[in-house]
Amino acid sequence: MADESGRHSADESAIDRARVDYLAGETDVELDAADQAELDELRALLADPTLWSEPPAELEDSVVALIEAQARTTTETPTATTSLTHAAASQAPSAPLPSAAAPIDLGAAREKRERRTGARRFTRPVFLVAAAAAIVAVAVSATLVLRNSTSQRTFDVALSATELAPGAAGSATMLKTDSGWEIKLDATGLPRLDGGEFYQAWLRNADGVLVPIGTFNEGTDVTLWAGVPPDQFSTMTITREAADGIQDSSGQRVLVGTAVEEDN
Amino acid sequence: MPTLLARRGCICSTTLTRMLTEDDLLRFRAGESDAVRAVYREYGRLVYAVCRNQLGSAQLAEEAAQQTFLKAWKSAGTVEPGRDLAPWLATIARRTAIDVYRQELREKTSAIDDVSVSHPALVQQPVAIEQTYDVWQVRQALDELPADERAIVQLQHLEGLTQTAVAQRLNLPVGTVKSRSYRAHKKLAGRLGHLREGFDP
Repeated sequence: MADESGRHSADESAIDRARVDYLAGETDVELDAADQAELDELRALLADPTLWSEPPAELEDSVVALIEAQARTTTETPTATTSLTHAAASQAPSAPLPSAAAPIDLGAAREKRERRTGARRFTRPVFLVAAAAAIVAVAVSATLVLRNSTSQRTFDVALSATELAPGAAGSATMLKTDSGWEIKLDATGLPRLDGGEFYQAWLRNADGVLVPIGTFNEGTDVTLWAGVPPDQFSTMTITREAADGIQDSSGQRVLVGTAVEEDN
Repeated sequence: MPTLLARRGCICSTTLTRMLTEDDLLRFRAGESDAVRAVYREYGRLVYAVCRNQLGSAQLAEEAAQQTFLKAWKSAGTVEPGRDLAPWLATIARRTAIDVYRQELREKTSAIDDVSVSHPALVQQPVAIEQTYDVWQVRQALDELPADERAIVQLQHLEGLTQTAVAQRLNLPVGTVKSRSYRAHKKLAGRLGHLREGFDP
């Protein structure tokens, strides 16, 4: 019995070895068809370039900035948990916890943009009903018009601090004009840079292409201009730079955020 | 039809489990940057790999990965502390990638001549959830390999190099490459489910 068991284990070991060898690329091994087909699937996965793809380095900051921005603009936490204990739930904040960075007032940024564009938000129910009816009435034709028109498109960016500028924060509003994208930036917690040093703002697309959109010394009430659309160049970064003749980014990012299109 | 790993019954492999504590989840739900960052660092590469596998395009994959984490944050209240987030996130990633794919289709319906020949809508269809999780698990198993073993597996499978060519590329003795390759593939075989009943690497 023991011999039979031992022989069985030895057979299994030989087969397992053959399977590992085959997975490693050996072709001169004996396997049954089912085993081979299964391992071929695994080998095909291992040879798939998408499996080995690495996310761009900036994606982490973009994800963090996006969720931070959403958390700040949400008055309540996401869907209430049904699985946490009562004790834990009682400790759960009823509103998003403040981050270490200074709060970003996206509402104020939106109001400033609305003042510039002349847009107004109706808050009373009667106005909402009238507005909804009007929207339904013109929806079909408006959709076609809006699809082809970008003149009113606006994007908001909530900028979060990196480890190089703890405590800094900012917001930006991007407004499409005939000349390009006018970007109003307000940042706090950034020390003034002078004497050959300055801040530079950039927009970046998913392929990592950086487009400079302006330089400044202080972060308050800054106007920048971009010739590329924020729906394609959606990552906004602010870096510290020196007037050293090098045009590339220093990589010293102090603020980062993602452009989110405002619902019209 | 169940695919590779599902057939092997390793969807719930305990060796691949990642869990968040109750405190982690609460801070993630609150949008605290360090908690969000921790979740991203645990799952970001996997989510991106799934999105990239579904969509092909790096740009679309990045967009889908961002939206995946945003959706995960919004529904984090439904997650039980201590639960492995992997299947949940993989499902969100797949659905989000399909949404992005369909959005691209809608935007490209005006004229077929305007669509790039490499556009994912033309070259591939969304894959099944089982395959999505296959990708997730294989990628996770690769990430868990030591760097020296992972590099050899990558050269062998992604670039199709022989062990001799790998040895030349990495300036290592062929014997070293062979032993590392065997160790790596034995680990992969073990982590990606028992290659058959009774296999114990």
